[in-house]
Amino acid sequence: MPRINKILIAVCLCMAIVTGCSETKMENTTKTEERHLLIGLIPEQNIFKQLKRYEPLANDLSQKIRVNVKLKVLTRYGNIIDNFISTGLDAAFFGSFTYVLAHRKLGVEAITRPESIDGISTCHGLILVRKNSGIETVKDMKGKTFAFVDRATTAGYLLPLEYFKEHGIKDYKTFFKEFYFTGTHESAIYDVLNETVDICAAKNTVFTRLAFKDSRINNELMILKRSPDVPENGLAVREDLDDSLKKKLKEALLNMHKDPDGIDVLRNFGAKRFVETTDDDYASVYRYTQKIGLNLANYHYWDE
Amino acid sequence: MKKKIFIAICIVILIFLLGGTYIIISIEISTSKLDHLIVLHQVEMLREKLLIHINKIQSDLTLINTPYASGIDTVITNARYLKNKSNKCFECHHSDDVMIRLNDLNHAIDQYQDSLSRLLTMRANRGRTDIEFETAFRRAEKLSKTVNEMVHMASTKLYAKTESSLKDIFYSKVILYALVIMTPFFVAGLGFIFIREMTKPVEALLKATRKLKGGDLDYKIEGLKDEFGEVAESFNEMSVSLVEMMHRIEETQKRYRILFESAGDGIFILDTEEGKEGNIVSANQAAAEMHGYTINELLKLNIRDLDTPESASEMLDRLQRILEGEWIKAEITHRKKDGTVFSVEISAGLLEFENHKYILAFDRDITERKKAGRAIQELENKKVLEEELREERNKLQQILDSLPDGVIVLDGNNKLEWANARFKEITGLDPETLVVDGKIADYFHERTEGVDESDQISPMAKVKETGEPVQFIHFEPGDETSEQYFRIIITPFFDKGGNLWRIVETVRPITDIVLQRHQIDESEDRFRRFIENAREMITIKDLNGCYLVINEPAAALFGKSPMDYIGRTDHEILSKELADRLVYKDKEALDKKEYLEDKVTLSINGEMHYLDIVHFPLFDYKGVVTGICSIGRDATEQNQLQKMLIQSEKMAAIGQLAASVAHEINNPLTGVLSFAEELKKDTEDLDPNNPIIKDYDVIIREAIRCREIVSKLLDYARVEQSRRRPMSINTVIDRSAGLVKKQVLFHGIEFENDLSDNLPEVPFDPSQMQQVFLNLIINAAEAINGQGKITLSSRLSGEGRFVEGLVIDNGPGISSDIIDKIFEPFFSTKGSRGTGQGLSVVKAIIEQQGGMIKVDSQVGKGTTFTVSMPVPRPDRQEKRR
Repeated sequence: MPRINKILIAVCLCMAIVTGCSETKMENTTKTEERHLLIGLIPEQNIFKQLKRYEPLANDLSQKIRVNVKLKVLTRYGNIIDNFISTGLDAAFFGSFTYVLAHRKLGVEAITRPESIDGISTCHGLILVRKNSGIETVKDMKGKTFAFVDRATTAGYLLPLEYFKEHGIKDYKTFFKEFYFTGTHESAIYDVLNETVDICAAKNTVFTRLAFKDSRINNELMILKRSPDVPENGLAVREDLDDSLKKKLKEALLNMHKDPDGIDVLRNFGAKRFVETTDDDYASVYRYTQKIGLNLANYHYWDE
Repeated sequence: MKKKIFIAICIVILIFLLGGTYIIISIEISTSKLDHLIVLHQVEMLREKLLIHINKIQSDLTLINTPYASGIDTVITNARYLKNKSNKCFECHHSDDVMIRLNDLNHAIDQYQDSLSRLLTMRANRGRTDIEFETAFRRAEKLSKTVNEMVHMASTKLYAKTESSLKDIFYSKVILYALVIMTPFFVAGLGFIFIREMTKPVEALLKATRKLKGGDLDYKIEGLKDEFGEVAESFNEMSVSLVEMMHRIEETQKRYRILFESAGDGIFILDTEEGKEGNIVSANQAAAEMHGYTINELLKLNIRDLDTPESASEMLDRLQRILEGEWIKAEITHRKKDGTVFSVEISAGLLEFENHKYILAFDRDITERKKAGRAIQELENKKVLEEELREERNKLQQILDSLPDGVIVLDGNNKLEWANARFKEITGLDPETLVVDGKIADYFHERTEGVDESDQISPMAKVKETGEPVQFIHFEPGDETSEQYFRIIITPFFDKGGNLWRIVETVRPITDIVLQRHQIDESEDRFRRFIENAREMITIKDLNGCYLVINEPAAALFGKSPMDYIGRTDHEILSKELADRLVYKDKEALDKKEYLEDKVTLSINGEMHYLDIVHFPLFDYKGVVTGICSIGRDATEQNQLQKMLIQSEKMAAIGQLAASVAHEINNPLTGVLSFAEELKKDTEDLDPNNPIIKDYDVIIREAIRCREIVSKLLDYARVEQSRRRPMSINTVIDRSAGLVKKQVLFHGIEFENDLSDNLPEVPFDPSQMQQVFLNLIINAAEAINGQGKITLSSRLSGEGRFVEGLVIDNGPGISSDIIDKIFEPFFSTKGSRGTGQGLSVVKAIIEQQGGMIKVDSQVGKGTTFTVSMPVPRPDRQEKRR
């Protein structure tokens, strides 16, 4: 009987030690989680796909800069400007127009942007219709339905706005039978493809990505207008981000194509490498907004 | 037995192993089944969770834009949870049926997420958002339905699996209990049988061992099996072996005794105990006989008593070495009982027997062996010597063969003893073939011109006679390519008694050297002839300036012979001025190592000589300067020729001037003559003796004469091509005489004409031939100094083959020492008046016309110059015509 007691005591001791160990481990994890970098994503495409696309990049960055990088996808382009203040984003992959807005309103600083496999680091907007829609000119558009992406996108809003202005459409709200904001470029393209809407505005990079997977897109859709090139969605950080962290983040992205893991991440992401980006690269967007008469300081980007 | 034990242990282990394996497998099966059950439960729970999340999302969507809704982030997180969990299902292995369902589930989730994304991001009018909302709701319901179906399927499977698992576990339990109870009984039974089998044979073996210990070697063990049986058998064989061994030891003992007793060598066993060292303890018969004692007598002696005193003195030392464990061998001397000393070879070592140390010693009488040994040693020495001798001979042969010369060695009687390989190579003679009557023939000898070979003393004989080495060159005749020369050296060698011992004949091929010598001689001869016969003055001096070579022309310049110069320097022979000049130029050429030209003007015997001299250094084959060569040429003649050429040019100019003056005079003369004749016509009325008429005649005559003179002058000066035409020589002689007769020089000279008529015409250029006779006549006139007689003659000579024209004077004649030189250019006896050109030109013209000129003179009587022109042969003339 005393022997059984001894065994029981030994077992209890072992368990205590094991439990203790696991507790310590948990504490460590909590500590690392304390320091993190929150990066916002705009709903360029289906938000779940968007998260899936950026997650490997975030994981790779976490390892390289030794800071836990977290992602937050936003349901609206404009949200990204609000959320910098409300949810404390440290950085975000901005669309060219949202960057320009955020730079003016919040003073964010552009650092890098991806360069595609073909070596291109710019994008442009497209105005799309179905080939069988019979729409070829602006005249044909009257009384049709139109899908924008978001008021805070270059391709999904500024381009059609300029297009309308160029063709003398004073008020698109009355020109079209109906218009709405799809929120993502992907939805806009698919809405035209599925005949949910007659015309849409969307970004070429998303168009190309979708066309690669779905042959109907090239076969059935037609491009009516193409905007000038603007920088592709780039990473901009908040004005007061710690300089050393900013530097580490920038270097990790710029050197990503130099190590095998980084090359894999970039390939899945659909880029060759990241290139350095400054506010000067957005000069074309500034000019574009001027051309269509937008005042960035008091621009109201909420969709109606 | 071992096999039995092994089999028993194997059976026990196998039973335990089978039992254990069965227990492990049944536990493994039960736990894996339980695992499976747990997994199925987890799957069910997972699917439950999926349903819960779908419901959560749906409720959030319904409550969106109300205060009860969760945040959009929560909706996104829940939607991603669905996808994550669904992906997790794919990590496990599933049947095809399940995979299809899982793919459906995944697709439904994708569609649902798509709807959610659209719904969350879209900003449109109510109609559109409602459509999106409904789509999302419909997709959620479809998803829920799929999940529910899968939950149902999982539950059904779970129930069936749980039932069968529990049944299996029950059976396993029953078998386990049975095994646990049966095993101890089985093991105990086995142990009992094993112990009984072991103890019985051990007791039998123990009994036999005791018997053997008691000395009963004949006891045998019987009735045991297996390994114990084998042990018993070995035991029995061991007792038999022990009996056999004892017999063998007894036999061996006997053999050794016989061996000891009858051994040829003497054997001693000696004591080593202190105070008794060397006492003979045992000895055999041979030992006793060897020393002339009986065995019993020996046993009373110490071994030292048998040793000679010197052997005995070393005995203690040998004893010490033996005691240290060494087995010694030695040759010592023993003394027999009768005092005879003899050599023994002893071989002794330590023998321990029952803790007592003895010395065992074998003695062998080696007197006879020693004798034989000495004889063998001598024989061997002789062999070695012979071998060395042969070796030496071989070496000598090798040395001889390696010599560049052919060598043969003869003994004092001319018998061939040695010949090296080179001898045959060089001479092509096999030394064996030279042997006649056992002696080597005296083949090589010196050839002396004009002496018959048989009359010459043979060199070999000479060597024998004089005892001195002889050296000569042997010539082996043949054609140009096969003739050979050898230098032969025959050297005699004498023994201590002064008798001829060996003759060594060495043959060295020197054909190349001899031929080279000949070539050099030829070359030198050519060189010598070249120098001796050269017209130029050639000298070679060594670096000290002493003459080595000088040829005749060089020596004769100063009227000396070459021998006056050889070995002497310029300063010793020549005037200081000239010597300085030559030495200076020599030095300059030597310093510059190049060809140097010099011009020297000398006055020799009052005559000026112009010398062109070149100096150049001579080099040996190494390019070192060894001497200086000078080649000089007397350029006096050349100098004079140049001067004369100038003079001749001058004369030609005067001639031309004279011709033109003559031409100019001709016209006024014609005037003078015609007017004089006109004036004379006017005097026809006058008295013929009127002196005026005579005066006119004088004018006319002299004018005519003038005209003739001018005409002849013009004829002479007319520049004509050499035109040979057949002509009488008399015509030319007449004309020439006519030209000069009236000159002042000839006023006191009597001309005698002795021209032959009917001479054949001979071809010559009249103008040039006239010049010849003019010259000869003027020379004759000058020779007789304007007072005397000149005979002009012509004749046929040489049996009509020649026509000769002769100019003969009765002047003082020409002395014999200069008569040979008168036709040489620039030779003149007229001093500064003459150019020395006349006769040489005369000779040149005549020879050019195909004729000859000769001179005969006697001092005090006169001189005759004879010009001979060949008469053309009629046949040739015919041909020409």
